[in-house]
Amino acid sequence: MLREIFLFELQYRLKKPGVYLYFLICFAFAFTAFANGALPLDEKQFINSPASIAEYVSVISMVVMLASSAIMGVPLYRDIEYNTREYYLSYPITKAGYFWGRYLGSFVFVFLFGVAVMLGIYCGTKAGPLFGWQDANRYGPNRFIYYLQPFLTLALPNLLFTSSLFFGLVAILRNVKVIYSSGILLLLGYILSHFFTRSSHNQYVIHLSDPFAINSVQTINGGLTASEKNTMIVQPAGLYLVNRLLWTGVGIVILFYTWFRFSFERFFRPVRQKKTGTTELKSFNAPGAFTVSFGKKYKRPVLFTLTKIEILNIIRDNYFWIIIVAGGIFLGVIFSHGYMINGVRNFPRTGMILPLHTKNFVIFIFCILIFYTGEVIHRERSTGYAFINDALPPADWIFNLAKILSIFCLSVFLTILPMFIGIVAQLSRGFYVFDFPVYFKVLLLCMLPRLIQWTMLSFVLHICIRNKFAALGVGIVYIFLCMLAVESGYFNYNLLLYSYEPDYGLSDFDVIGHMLKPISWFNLYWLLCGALLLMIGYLFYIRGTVNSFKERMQLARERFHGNAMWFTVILIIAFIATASYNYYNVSYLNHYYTGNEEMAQRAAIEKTLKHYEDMPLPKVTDIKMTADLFPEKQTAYFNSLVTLVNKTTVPIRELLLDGDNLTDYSLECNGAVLSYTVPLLFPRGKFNFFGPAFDSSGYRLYQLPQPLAPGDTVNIGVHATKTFKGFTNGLYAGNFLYNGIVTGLGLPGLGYDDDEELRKEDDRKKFGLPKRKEEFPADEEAAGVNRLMGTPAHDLIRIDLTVSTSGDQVVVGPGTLEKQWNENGRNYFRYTCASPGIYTSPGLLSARYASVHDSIQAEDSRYIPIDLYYNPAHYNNVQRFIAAYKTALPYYSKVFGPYPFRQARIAEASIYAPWTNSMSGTSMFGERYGWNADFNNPDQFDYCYYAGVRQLARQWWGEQVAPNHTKGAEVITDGLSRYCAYVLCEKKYGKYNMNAVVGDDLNWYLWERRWHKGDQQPLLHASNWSEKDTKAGHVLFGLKDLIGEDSINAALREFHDKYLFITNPPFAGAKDLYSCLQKHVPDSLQYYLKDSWERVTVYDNRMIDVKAIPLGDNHYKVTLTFSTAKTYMDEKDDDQPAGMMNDYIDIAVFGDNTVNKEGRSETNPLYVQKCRFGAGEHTVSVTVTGKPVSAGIDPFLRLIDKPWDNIKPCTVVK
Amino acid sequence: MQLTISKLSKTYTNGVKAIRNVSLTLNEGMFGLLGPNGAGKSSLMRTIATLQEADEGTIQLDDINVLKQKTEVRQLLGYLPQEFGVYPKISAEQMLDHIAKLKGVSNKGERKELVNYLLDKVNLYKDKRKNLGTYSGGMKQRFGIAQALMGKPRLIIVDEPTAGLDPAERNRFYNLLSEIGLNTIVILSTHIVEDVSTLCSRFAIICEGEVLFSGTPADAINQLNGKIYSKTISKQDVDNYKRNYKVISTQLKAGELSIRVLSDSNPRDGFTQVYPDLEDVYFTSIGSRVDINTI
Repeated sequence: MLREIFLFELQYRLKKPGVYLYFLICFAFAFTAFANGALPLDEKQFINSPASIAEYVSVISMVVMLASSAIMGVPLYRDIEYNTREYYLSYPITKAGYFWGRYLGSFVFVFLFGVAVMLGIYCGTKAGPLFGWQDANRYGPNRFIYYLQPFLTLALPNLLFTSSLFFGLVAILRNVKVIYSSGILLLLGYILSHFFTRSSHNQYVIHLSDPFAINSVQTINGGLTASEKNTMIVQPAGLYLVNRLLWTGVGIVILFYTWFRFSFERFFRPVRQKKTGTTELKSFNAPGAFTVSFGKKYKRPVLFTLTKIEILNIIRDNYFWIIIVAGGIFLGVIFSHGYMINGVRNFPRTGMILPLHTKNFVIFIFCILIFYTGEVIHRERSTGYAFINDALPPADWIFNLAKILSIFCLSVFLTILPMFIGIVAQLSRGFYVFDFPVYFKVLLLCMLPRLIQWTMLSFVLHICIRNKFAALGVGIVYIFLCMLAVESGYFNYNLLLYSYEPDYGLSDFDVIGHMLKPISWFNLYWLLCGALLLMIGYLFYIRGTVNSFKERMQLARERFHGNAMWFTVILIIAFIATASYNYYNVSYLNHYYTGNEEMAQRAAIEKTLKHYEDMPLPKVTDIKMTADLFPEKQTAYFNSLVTLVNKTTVPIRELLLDGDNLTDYSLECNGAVLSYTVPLLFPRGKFNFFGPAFDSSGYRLYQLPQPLAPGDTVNIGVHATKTFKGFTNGLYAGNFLYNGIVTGLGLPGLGYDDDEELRKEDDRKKFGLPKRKEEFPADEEAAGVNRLMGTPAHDLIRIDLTVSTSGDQVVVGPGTLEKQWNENGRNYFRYTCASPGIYTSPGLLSARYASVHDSIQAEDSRYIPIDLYYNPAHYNNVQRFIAAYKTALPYYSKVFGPYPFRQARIAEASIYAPWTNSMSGTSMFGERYGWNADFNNPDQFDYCYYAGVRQLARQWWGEQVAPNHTKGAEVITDGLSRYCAYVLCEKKYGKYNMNAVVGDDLNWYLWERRWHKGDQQPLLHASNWSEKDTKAGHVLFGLKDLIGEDSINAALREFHDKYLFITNPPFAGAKDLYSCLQKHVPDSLQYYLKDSWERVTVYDNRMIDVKAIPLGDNHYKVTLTFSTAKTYMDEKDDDQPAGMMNDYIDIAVFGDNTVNKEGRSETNPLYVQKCRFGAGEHTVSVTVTGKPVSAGIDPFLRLIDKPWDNIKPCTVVK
Repeated sequence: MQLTISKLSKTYTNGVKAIRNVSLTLNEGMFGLLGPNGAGKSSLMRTIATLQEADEGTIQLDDINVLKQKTEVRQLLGYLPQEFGVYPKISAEQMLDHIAKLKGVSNKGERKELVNYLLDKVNLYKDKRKNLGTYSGGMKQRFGIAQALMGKPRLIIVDEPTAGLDPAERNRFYNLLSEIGLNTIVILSTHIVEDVSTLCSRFAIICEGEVLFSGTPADAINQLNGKIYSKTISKQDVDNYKRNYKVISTQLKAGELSIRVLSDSNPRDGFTQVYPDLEDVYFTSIGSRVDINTI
């Protein structure tokens, strides 16, 4: 019996096109990913490494889940759907045969989808190198076990779990829609839990909470080096094994539970009919005369009633509400949770939560829309009502329009819903600033048109492709292909990607700002295109029985006349007009280049201009500038007089200038405009047909009127304009908002800019470029010492800026604000840095700021005003930044040297600016950083304070002492400023409460270390950001703990004074800082300095056991058992035991945390001791007063060591 | 009103010739369509109901070209398909009200009256608030009748309307049809020959897409007057009789077989002449096309 039913199921399935489609999709996804290497890979990781196969299989099994839901849901439901139940019960069928036959017959196909994935991977790895999509050396050997093992341990258990779940749900609930809703619920639930587990460090949560084991596999792979990833298969062991057994077990339990609960009688029992109240019987006479009319008043009410019935059909479906409620809960959780920085949530400000919806969640809404469009279009046919409906009098277009309107209503509902969810989420956080204009602009002006465009496409897909699931598949595949193309940078020309529009950000300064215009134009463009699609839909709309394509064509021809034709013609004209306007803006006024063309341009620059890299360049020593900013026109004019000094030994004849950041500029010298040649032109972009054949590269080569002899000075006038013509394909003018300008001084770059060179080796190879030489080659170190980090023209610059802006805005600039005044309704500001000058590139900010002014006594009799400029809506944390300045300014002045400017400024910048930045006298924080943090618990880390003191430290480290152009020199700016921030946090939170501050950074460094294992350098030659910044800060802070604050400050002061505002080389590098430190470290501690600066050293200290014996009188004897170890990285990038070890490491015993007067919880060390330990296991006993709760080895994270095993709870033994 | 079908033909893409050169003229009153399953009755009706295109031929309803002026036809049409479904989550009352609007009954009060009247007539009044998805087969069929008669149809096409109705309901329906069907053309397809003889002023027999007979039931029966003979024979002899006579129907009753044959002259051999009925007409007609074997 089982056999017959099983075989029947196979035959039945094989006749359905769906299974082939799913098989193909599974295959194609895997094939594309592996043929193009579109996977998250390490640099040296093979595309087909066992690690990447395992990771891919775990992730893709979620996608296969959708297919399995379609396959596993129907086999039982089919008998209900087709009413075969009526006679099925009369057949001699056994329960086992029926149940298992159907299950296995369907599962075979799910199994085959899994095989399709593996097959796709295999073929992809073969096709990739064969067709030259990827380099052959990016693929390793294809071993069978690399495929078999993940198939058996990942694909099969995952599919078994989902298949059993879906099969069981239908068997028990006897409804097939439960599949769609549970599939979506599972997906949403999964994404939601992923959202939370990502931030969790709990191994049990990471490994066990995930039925697809994606987290597990990623965690395990994350800890492997590239070579391990290339050779090791993910072994099922430990928690990962438990996960696999657990979820496979859950699947089997569900299956058997279903099996035991399943009975024919119950399953085939007709659906109970609800009893509704009977209406009293009346007798009716034949109605008197009534009028039937199809005149003018017929169409509108009929359209209305048709739309109403259609909407009722949608909303009376319970599953609709399940999906909506699930999505709503999901969105609500995301909204109310919002972004977290350093464990502190931001206020759920409208402009901040909405992007969570518009950027990611919108895909979910697209899926709902295309699904319900299918339901709406196929409703008559799938219910059988079509036979009645189609013979009713309304014209085709009325039926069509009613359907479209009902889906539009759904779109409007789905557009407005996020607003209500957003408001509820905001209320739940006690946040009452509902920014309705933002909701309105984002949802109704940007979002709704996109949803409507999408329903239009869905509409025509569902009409033209008569199979509902195929249309659904085509639509969803289209969404993902577009997403893939755009996000991979492969193709993003919005004029050719249906329903795509330029990207935009949501800033509280300007909301959508100027981007509303291009977005509206693109929306209009796609709406018109959508309307044309609707016309196609209308022409091919099926009414009655249509048998052949020929008949459909004939009907379409018949429908295409009169109004329909005129309407189409008008639409086409409007569409072409809009398309032309958009094209004119995107590809004529502006030049659009594909990602590939942009790379080709960068390669061309390198090929043609690289030889200018070593051309002698003068240094800029003075800039005197007047600038006029017109924010309302997004335009700025700059007139500068730049003093250039030839500090080289050869005469300078020509200057290479890079002006691609400016709209136009000209140079003059002694009243004469300088002429120039253009060393490089780019060919016209593929999509800019009507533009000129060649486009400027931005580079110009100027001949100086007379050569600039060594030591000579020349003044050059620069007149530059920055403006924006029309709109572009993507986001533009992000730093030139109506309210919120962040700009440089409008000067072209001097010399060849190697920052723009292609970096990825694959890209370089593709464009015929040689391997990129190291940025700081060892043999050029001597030369690097003689110049500053940044361009060769960099020097200490004296500046004098006079800037005007509109009457309601304020300009924040560098250095000292000399004067500010109002003239002709415009605000003027004069900023200077006359003596000694500034090292960092100056910039200007202009916006409608609110401001707070305070001051602090920096040195004996000197008060420094602190001026803070912020968006008036973001007032909550202003005092935290001020407090940071007020604490740090006196401290830094005292220990490092006086503050060099007359004011200290803090300014808020829009979302388009970097999160944090600093220039002389001014620190800048982006609006998403700190300003909106919702501090509501004294235990939270005040990262505004942290960021404030850190940015202020850069006024010493960077502004006064500038790094030279050698490897690791950024330690001086990034590392020292982080160290300073740690020191000032320690002053705020106490010596023993720094784990929350240091721990995150340390984890980040260790995480980065795992990812870039082959790329590790000692601090002296630090190249990664995690080394120059995070690690440097950490080891300096550790050093402070060993040698004391005064000693390290003395060393830093010496270093500071030696390099303070120097204009002549040698400039300061990491080595110089190191040698200053060395002088102040006693011999007994030199090992620490050497370990941290000259080697890559990692400790592995862990607490093994902590026991306490009460001694009476509140005394306890605590015995600590722990192990210590230290490793050095060798030449092969492997960690080797350090051999000798006798290092100072803290041990401590803690009591219960105490709460300080601010309500902040603090650690309560009962015993802290720094002792020397060798490698190995140690047991130490100490006597403490007070009940011990835990104890730790290096509990304050002074060393580079994995933090999570350093502290263990204490067991008190009687 | 007059419906004229001339030289109508339709071949499906799978090669089945559903309608072959059909020409019929229908006047006001009931017109029955008789024919075996798959004869093309439904295809013909669908074509008249504007739901299907024809390959050749014309259909003219007075001055309306049915195949082209579909909207005009639909405004006069009441159609009950052989098989149909409903929106499961909508109540009968709401759905009928909706359909009434679509059929041009724009006055709310009149519509309500009409809906209630029809619901009462098809005996669904007490269930009018129930969702259609909960209706049984018979209830659904009655709902279908109600919607077909909604508005002021001048052309009513009902495809096997009494399927699934009990005899009482059937009578009720025919009475209703007669009541509403005054001054209208009613096309009714059925398997029940008796229905045609009691109800229809004219009828046609269709087989394999062709019209084999069209006219009044009386004319049809008259044609066979004196040509039908009956005999009771034993079962094993039936093949023998089939070889020798034109057997048009056989009926097994209590172990004995009663056969009816068509013959211009008395075949003797124990046959007795009987009065022909419409069933004889039906079997005689289609017997020329398909092999009817009633045992």
